[in-house]
Amino acid sequence: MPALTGQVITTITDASGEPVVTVTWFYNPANSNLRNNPASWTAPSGTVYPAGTGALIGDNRLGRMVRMRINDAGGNQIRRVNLPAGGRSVTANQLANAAPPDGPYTTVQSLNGLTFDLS
Amino acid sequence: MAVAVVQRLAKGSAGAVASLSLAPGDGWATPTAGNILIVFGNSDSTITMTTSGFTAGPSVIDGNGAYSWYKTAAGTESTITITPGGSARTTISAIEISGAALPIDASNSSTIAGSNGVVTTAASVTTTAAGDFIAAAALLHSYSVSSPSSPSWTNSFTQQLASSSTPVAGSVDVTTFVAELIAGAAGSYSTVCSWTTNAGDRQHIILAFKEAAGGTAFTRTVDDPAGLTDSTSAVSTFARTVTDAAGFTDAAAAVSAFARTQTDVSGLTDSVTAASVFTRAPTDSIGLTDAVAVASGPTRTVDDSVGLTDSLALARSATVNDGAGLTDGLALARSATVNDSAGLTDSVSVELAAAGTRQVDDTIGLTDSLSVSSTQTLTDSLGMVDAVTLAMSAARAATDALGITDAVSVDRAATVADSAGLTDSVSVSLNSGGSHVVTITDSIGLTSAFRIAQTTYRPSSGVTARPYAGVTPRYPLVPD
Repeated sequence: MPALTGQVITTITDASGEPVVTVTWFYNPANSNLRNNPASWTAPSGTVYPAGTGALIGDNRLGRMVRMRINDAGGNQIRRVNLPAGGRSVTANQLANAAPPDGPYTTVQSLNGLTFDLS
Repeated sequence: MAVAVVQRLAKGSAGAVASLSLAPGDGWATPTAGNILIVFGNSDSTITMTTSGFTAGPSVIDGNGAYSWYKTAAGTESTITITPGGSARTTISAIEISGAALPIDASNSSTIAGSNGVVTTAASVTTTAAGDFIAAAALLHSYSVSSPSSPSWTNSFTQQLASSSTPVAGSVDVTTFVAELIAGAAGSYSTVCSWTTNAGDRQHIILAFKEAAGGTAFTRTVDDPAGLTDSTSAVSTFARTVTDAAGFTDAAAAVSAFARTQTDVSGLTDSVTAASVFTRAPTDSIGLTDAVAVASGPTRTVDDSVGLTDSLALARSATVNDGAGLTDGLALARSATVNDSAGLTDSVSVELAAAGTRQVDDTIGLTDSLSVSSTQTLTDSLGMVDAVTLAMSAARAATDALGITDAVSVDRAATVADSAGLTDSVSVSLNSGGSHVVTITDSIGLTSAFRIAQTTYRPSSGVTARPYAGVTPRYPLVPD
């Protein structure tokens, strides 16, 4: 009974424990390919993202842009994604067509190593 | 105050469980109140923190649910419990640290989902102070051969806790490693954990906690906004303010030098003494001033706007304002002004001699007794002047505009005016040479009896030139 199947949710909280940055991405568990959210997803902030909104959805309540980094095992940044204030959703097609060096993103493994630059 | 670990403990479930706890039976001791508790939870399901009062830190949920929480210990957390969303294999790790304080300084996470490996990816925290306590956790899930083991960490983090669900049953198992670091100077810190045996879901959470503030150095402030100040003393030099906003000040003494203000906004000032030199202003806006003594030097003002002034002793050049209260006793020397706009002045004595301008105004209240000497003006515009004695010297004027003057005793050269009231008794007694002018004017009321001794009486307009029945002049009246 995995906690989630076909979805990853990572959350950063503020000092009072409230989620301020929540990023989720969706993939087909059968082949690990990224896909748009197959069902409506509600962020902790209450924002509802209807089915098909995107394969990568970021809900950002920090009031400023947050840089997301994708690090390799050595901690070196290999890709980056900016999450503007408020949030952003990107479809699987957009991810697949993102140009190098920050793209493309095609499978769930494309986002492995995702962390946040909160400085 | 350096951060120190008081206790740390981790536990993995035996198979799937509905909840998982660290309890005294596991070796967990009830923490000390005020210490910080840090908890990591890892499960094949989502997790809820069951023990109350924890704040959620970063979390990552994919195949496993990886969570962090922290709180300031209440000293009652003898058991810490987390609850998976369903019966699931789970681990719990907890650390109690002393010398740290919330809020949390920094936190972060990184995630790898569905990809076998033996290492996490780095997530950095940027600390804002030296000496942070940093806890990092690798929260692993989905392996089949055996549990990950032999963890090691980069960047000087020290491995401290390891826990795994047992027995290994395949992709549903979880393992958690926790490492710690006491950081140096403020800045960016990160670490990576590696181990043996592949895991498919590899979450990484890192938390940084600041040292609690120390207790030394500058800037002491003593505020007692609502309590009692038994003794306050400001000893020397310039610009002191002694303020007791709502409490009681039993004794306030501003001893010397310039510019003192003593203010007791709502409380009681039992004794106020402003001893010398320039510009003092004792103010008691709402309370009671039992005794106020302003001893010498120019320009004093005593204001008691609402309260009671039981006793005032003023030397020269003084102004006493008793806006709405009672002035029970006033002793004034020269150049004094007493304003009692709405209250009662039971006794006002303007005593001394030479020269200068005294004025006693009682605009609405009652002046029971007034005794004045030279060059005085007594005005009781709406009240009653029960007894007025004008004892000596020249040019006195006693005026009782609307009230009743029961007894007026005048020496020479006096004017007694009772414009609308009654003057029951007027005695103009002494006269050395018979040459002074005494004028008694009772424009609307009645003058029941008057005595004029050794003087020339010049009736003014509206005044009967002869005494009423029953009044016998001691000396003949002299027609004008």
